[in-house]
Order: sequence, then C-alpha cells, then structure tokens
Amino acid sequence: MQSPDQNPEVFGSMAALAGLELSPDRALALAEAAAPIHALLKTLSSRDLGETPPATAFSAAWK
Amino acid sequence: MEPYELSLTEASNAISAGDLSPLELTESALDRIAAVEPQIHAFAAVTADAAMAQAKKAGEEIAAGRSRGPLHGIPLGVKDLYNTAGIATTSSSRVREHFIPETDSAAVTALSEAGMVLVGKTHTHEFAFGVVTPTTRNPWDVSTSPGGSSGGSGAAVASGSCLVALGSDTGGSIRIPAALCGTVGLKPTYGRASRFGVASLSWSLDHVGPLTRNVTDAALVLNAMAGYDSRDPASVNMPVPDFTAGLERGVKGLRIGIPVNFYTDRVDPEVAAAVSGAATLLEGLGAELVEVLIPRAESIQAAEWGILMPEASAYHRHAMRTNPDLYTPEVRALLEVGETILATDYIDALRMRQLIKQGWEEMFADIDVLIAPSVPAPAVAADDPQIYWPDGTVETATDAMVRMSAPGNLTGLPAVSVPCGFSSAGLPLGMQIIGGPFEESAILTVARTYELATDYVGRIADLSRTPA
Repeated sequence: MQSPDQNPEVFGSMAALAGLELSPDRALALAEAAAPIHALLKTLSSRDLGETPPATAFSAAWK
Repeated sequence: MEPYELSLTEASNAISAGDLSPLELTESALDRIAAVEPQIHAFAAVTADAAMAQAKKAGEEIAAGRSRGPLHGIPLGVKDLYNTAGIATTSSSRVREHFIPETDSAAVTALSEAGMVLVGKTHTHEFAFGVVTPTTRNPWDVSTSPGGSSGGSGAAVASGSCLVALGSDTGGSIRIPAALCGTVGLKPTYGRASRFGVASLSWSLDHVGPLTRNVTDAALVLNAMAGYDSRDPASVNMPVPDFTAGLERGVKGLRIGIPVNFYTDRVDPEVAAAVSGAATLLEGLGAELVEVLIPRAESIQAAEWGILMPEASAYHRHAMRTNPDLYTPEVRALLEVGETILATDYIDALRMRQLIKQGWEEMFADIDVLIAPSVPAPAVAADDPQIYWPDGTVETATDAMVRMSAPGNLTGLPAVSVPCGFSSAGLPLGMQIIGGPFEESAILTVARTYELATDYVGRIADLSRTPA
C-alpha cells in the first residue's frame, strides 16, 4: 500500500491547496519526485526536539 | 608570461610600479576569455567595452597617485545572481532574461569602489538551484561539469579569464565549483558579507563570497566585501579585521579537527588520501590533529533541504504562477515540490538547525578549525551528473556535493575550499577548512600555510585536454 508520501492524489491536493495548477500527469511525476523529500523530512518530526526553538529570531531594531 | 597569468598580487605590484597598465591587464583577460569561452562558456555576458573604460579610468587614477588599493584595476567576474546596474542580471534563467537592475548589489558596489574592473557576468545554475551549471564546462576537462551553482565563476577563475569571481553558497555553491575547478573558494560566516541585491535561493542559508586563484586574494576581496549592511536582515554589526594580517603566522599549536564520521562516508579514495595527506602535512608544520565526531550527522541532510526547499519555493511563488514554463523543467519541479512541504516540517528543520549549531559549538571546544573534503569526488561528466560508487549505488551530483557542504551552511561557520591535489585523471581535488564564528582569519591562515607548503594552489587550466 502506498504511503501518503507516494500517493499522487495526496500530492495533487497539496499542490492545489498551494495554488499550483498541475495536470494529472504532472502531479504523478512530481509525486514520485516529492516522495523521497517528504520521507527525508519526516525523519525530523520523529525526533524529540525538546524545548529547542527554531534558528530564527526577529530583531525589533530598525538599523 | 601573459598578464592574465600573473597572480593578483603580482599584477597589482606591476601596476603600482608602472610596469603594467590596468588596460593591458584587462585586454589580456578579455583575450583569454575570447580564447577559452568557446570551450567553457563561463560567461552569461562579457562586458568588454565597459571593462576597458573602467580599466582606463583605473590607470588614470593610479597614475595620478590615487590608487584605491590592491584590487584597483584587477579583472572581476560577477555571478549573474548579483545585481549590476544597467547590465542584464538573468540568474541564468529565461525568467529574468530581460531584467536590468537599476542599482548594483552591495558586493558589486564595494568592489567597484575598490577599483575592480568588471569583465562579465558569470553563469550560475538556474537561480542557484543546482550544483552542475549546465551551461558551462570545467576548464580542466571540458567533458566534465565545473560544479555549481557558481560554476561560471569557478570556470572563469580556473581558466585565467579573471582573477576574482563572485559566488554564492547556500548548499555549497562557492566551495563545490572551487573544489572541482581547482580554485580557492571562500564562504564567510553567515552575515559577514551583505547579500543585498543578490537573488535569493534560501534566505536562511545564503552566503556570498569570492572564488579566487589563491588565498591572499580571497582575504583581500573579503576585506572589501565584509561589513554591516542594514539592507540585509542577516547582516551582523561586527568589526571587520584586516583579513590579510597574520596570514603567514603558520599553524604551530593549532588544533585541527579530523572527522571520523559523516565526511568519511562515500568519499572517493583519491579525495580521502589528498585530504589526509594535507592534514599530515599541517601536523608536520606544528598543528595538532584531533579526532572529532560530527554531531547530528543523521539529520544534516533533512535540515538542509527542509529549510532550503520551502524558502526557494516561497521566493519564486509569483513567477511560478505567471510564467512557470520559463523555468528549466528541473528547477520548476523542485520549486513545485517545495510548495508542498508543510510549515511544521520546515520549522522542525529550523529547530534541528539550532541543535546542529549547539553540537558544533560543543565540538569546537576541543579544536580551532576542522578539515574535511569539500566534495566527495572529482568533477562528474557534464552529460551524466552522477557518481557511480564501487558498491553499486548511484548518487546524483546534487546529493553528493550538497551533503559535504551543508554543515557550513547550516552552522553559518566560515569555510574555505583550497585545492589539495589532482586525481589520476587530472581533475582538481579540494579540501575545506571550517572555523569558529567570524574566524575567517584562522581558516585563511591554515589555507595560506598549506598553499605555501604545496604547489596545488594558483594553477591555471591550459585547456589542452581534449574532450572524452
């Protein structure tokens, strides 16, 4: 059974949500390309990142 | 010896002494460009007329006793990501074919004020989103890729077309072409040099810096490029030292980290041997080698792509809805995939980045610099950009090249790539020296020490190799 990562319909829906118009053929091809990337990023969500904040900080200073 | 073959310092001294005019130097560079461009296509545009006018003006100023310093009258190539006023800045993309900026990027302003002569805009992989630079060939073997994304700059410096070329580095795009083309490539600390006016690939990871023929040149250019610029939100307000000071103090007592993991995975044996040889040489010159474990090695790739892809997609959102067909299919697909990455996954990558940063800080308690290969293998075939490992696995150039560069981008630490040998096929090999935050002087000193003890740095490709 396909994981959501590899499902072209899931990918197509995500792209539609993002506002990209993809033909079914294109969505299929891109879903295949996207699967390893999504799988790679899921390795992060499986880790316990504790209290670590993201590596971004907003400086309110103007200059 | 032709003027284009002189090192920057030799050329600068000859100009000061009145033995060489900036116009002669620029004409030599332009002649060299004309001779080699048919084979390597390093330039998106050659700005010959403007260059000769700038060179003439440089000559007049110097003759009148108004030298602007060691970069005055020196030929420069600028990656076509950097805005140059009145000159097309295409990012090597049809999307920006007709884009002519009204103002210079901060780096171009700085180097122009230092008196450098712009000979042309160098090719980039489209919008910096790749490590191959498909327009361009490697001067050491024109059947191979120069790397990327600053492949045009690497090819230009390696062929002697200019003495300095600007690059950008988000996943290795200065260090990769520097290593593969046999030049020096410096990625300064994140925030050290302003990115104002440079097309972005990923704001959180983008760095700007030079590719040069030797280490002193990189220090000279950094002197001009470094400094606070409020127009770049990541710019840091730190004092700028003279990066050429103390370059020849040697490495006695310096603790050099030698990774026992991550940088040791899937590395061409010739690359590994060259880097190991370099470490041994530096140990012989008084450095202490310290084995270190790269922290969070298993998460580096995820953090790099998890940050880079959504940011790149965000930058291109508008163009991707108005003219997606103007992108190359490869980059378009990456941008489309990037738009499907969840915000929460992106934030996880940023949190992992923080953990990676902390891990490197802890590792640097025991070392002053770290040495590793810049790239895992020499230049790949231009028409088949993959690495065929002996165990039967095949890795795309993108994955292979970016994985060794990513720590430098994620940590923001300064990293310089230095030529450290040649493969048995005559292709350049490069090693990177990574330092603590804002410690460009330390890594440049190690690089200069290595340069003086070997003869790999400062070579020009003669383009006599026939394609395979």
